[in-house]
Amino acid sequence: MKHAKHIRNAFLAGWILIAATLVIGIALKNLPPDGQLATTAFPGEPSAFFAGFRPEQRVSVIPDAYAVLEDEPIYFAMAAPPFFHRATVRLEYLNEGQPKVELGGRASLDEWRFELKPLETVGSDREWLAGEASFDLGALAVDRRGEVQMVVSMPDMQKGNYAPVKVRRIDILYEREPVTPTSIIEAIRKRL
Amino acid sequence: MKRLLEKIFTDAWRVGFVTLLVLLILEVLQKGFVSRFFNVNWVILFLFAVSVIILSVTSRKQEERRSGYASLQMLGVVAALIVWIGLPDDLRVFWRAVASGGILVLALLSWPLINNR
Repeated sequence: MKHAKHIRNAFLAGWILIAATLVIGIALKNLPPDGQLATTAFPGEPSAFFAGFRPEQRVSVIPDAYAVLEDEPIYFAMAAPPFFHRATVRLEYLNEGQPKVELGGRASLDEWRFELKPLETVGSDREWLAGEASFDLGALAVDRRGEVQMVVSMPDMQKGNYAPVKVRRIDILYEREPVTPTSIIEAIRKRL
Repeated sequence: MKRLLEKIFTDAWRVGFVTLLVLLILEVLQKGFVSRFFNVNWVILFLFAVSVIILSVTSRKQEERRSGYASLQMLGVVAALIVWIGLPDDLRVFWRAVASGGILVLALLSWPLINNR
């Protein structure tokens, strides 16, 4: 075949281009140039960033709708990507009578201790509120799987107020400094 | 034409294998670096599919093809196992079985297809 070599080389270039796009794409996901990685999860659909609410006996998941947090505390594992310093967790929730809803991150691997923060309301959609809390990932305990244990706390449930909280969406925004040529040179210089 | 196809897909297999190695090394160096954004099973499935194609277009002796088929079967079992383990935990057992079983059936069916050529 006359052009066999050219055809083979063209295909080889194609395979290499696909492979390079895949590897560079994954690298860019881990180190986004603007320094922000936004992910969304839903209670019934655990993802690589949100492992689902537990323990199961305190949570009822209505598929494709929301999770009802019937008791407290409720835990969930959240990914802590290594190159990010800050994580802002936003819950879209319907509060049916809890005066206080807090979000916390595990502060130490040696003890079951959480850094609790009240959910700050940043928006609403009819009765559903969007509440968020920011955490310094460096101050939280990241386990060997690269996850941080988080907690949703409704302290008044312990005092007999059993009004449930429904959660329909979890947004996590990870932040780091934007990647610029200067920051890359600076990072290399620090390692030399 | 067959010879050209064999070369093209052998190149694809090599590039796929190197890609798989790079992804595995990145994952070992930093857990979650790859697995949070991409399912490595796709590369393994790609290698499996390319192996089937290479075996079907290659024109070697019967004994060599038999040993190639044995390798393909082994690869099929490994790929099925990896897919079973690698698929998300919340996926129903039925779909897990469909995916893994599909690969095994493909590995078994590939022999008559290759042999009849």
